[in-house]
Amino acid sequence: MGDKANIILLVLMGSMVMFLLIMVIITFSVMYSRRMQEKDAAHKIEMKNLELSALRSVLEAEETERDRMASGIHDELGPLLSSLKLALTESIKKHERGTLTTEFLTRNRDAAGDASENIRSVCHALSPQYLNRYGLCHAIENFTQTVALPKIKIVTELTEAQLKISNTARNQVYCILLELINNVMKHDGARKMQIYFEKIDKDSKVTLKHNGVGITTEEFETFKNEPQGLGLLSIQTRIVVINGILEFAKGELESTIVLRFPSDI
Amino acid sequence: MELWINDLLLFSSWLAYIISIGFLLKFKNWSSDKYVRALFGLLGISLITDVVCFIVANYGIHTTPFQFVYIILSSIITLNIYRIHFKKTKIFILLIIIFELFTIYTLLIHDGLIGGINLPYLFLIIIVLAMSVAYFYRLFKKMDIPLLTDNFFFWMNSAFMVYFGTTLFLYLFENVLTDPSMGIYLYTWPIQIVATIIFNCILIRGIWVTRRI
Repeated sequence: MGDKANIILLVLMGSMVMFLLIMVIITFSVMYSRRMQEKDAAHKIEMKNLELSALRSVLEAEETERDRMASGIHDELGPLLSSLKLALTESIKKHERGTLTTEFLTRNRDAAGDASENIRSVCHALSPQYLNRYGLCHAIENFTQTVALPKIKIVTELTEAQLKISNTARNQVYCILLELINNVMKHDGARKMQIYFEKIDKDSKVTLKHNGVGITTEEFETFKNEPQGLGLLSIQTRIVVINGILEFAKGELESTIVLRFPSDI
Repeated sequence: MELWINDLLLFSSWLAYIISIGFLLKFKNWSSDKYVRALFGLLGISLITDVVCFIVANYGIHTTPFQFVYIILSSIITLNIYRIHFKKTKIFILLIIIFELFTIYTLLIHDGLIGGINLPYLFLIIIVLAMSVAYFYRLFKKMDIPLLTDNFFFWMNSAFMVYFGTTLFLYLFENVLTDPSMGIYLYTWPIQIVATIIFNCILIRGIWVTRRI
């Protein structure tokens, strides 16, 4: 090792080791970046799939809504208007024969009233005017009064101005609450309900307490995928739209449903 | 030739300090990063040791005890950096205690006060290299840093790997594979100096990235 050639070889080897270590780090960095890019691409694909899935759910919910509307018009409004037309034809004949009575006309007027009421409720389902005019809290109060639920108590800890949520979120929350109230009455046998609106930091929170049987969040996940669970699926879709979370809690005396969503959605 | 090596040595020793001080003047948020704080601590101890050793050597006093203090303090800081990163407090405290006991044993019993710091330093190099490799392995497994070049710890770890890896190779050649009395270190010294310059440059890049963030 004493000669010059060996020393030069040693110096070269030392330099090579240093260079090799630098190259290892550079290679590691390049490999890491490539792997990270692949991971990002996979994550983006996953997110796109989730978006597609959410969009599909929205479309399915819209389709269901449209079917419900069509069946409402076809099954209820259609026969009412047909019978009204027949009754008016009969009225003309009776008038020509001179046998038209006030009682007959009153019956026809009531049928027209029913048709008008039906149209109003369909329109209400399409775009709730009360909600647009008076806001979420009052619209829920109005709904509970309309469906004759005197024991439902609406408690709001915020005024409408403080609640401050977008129109889209408001409409979705309204529809979710309507469906929940309906389900709680129909399936859980609730006789008392309380609805609270709160604002926690940047989130809005709606709590529905009732004395019905109630379900847990896990049961909700199971029920929503069942064929008859279209209402729950519609709720789930609306929750996706407002980027919210729905939690269910079941108690012996009281059950709770909590809806949280970002206020700025 | 010797003058050239001396200039290089001076440049390598002072490069980190000069640029670190330059950065410090412009730093807005450096104190918030615990790794940067630890690194400045390490550089500070290194600077103090250099200055003290330079002064005492001029008075003919042996510098080994001062270098031992440097090894003890720098090992505590270096292992503490990895302790924070790996979040394994108990293991690292145990490792630090074992290392310090070993260093004290070497200083007082094995080699004596003027015996040199080779053995504890070799031990420290091996530990740091193991930590460095473990960091890269963990990083590649977890993939939890979106942009590697914006991460200070990556730069610091890379600097440790290059510097200590080269030092270990040179140490093995100078002390194990050849006879230390042959004075091979005189020829490998420029490589060590270049490794120090690269070490400092990588650290500066890391510090620059932290400053930008």
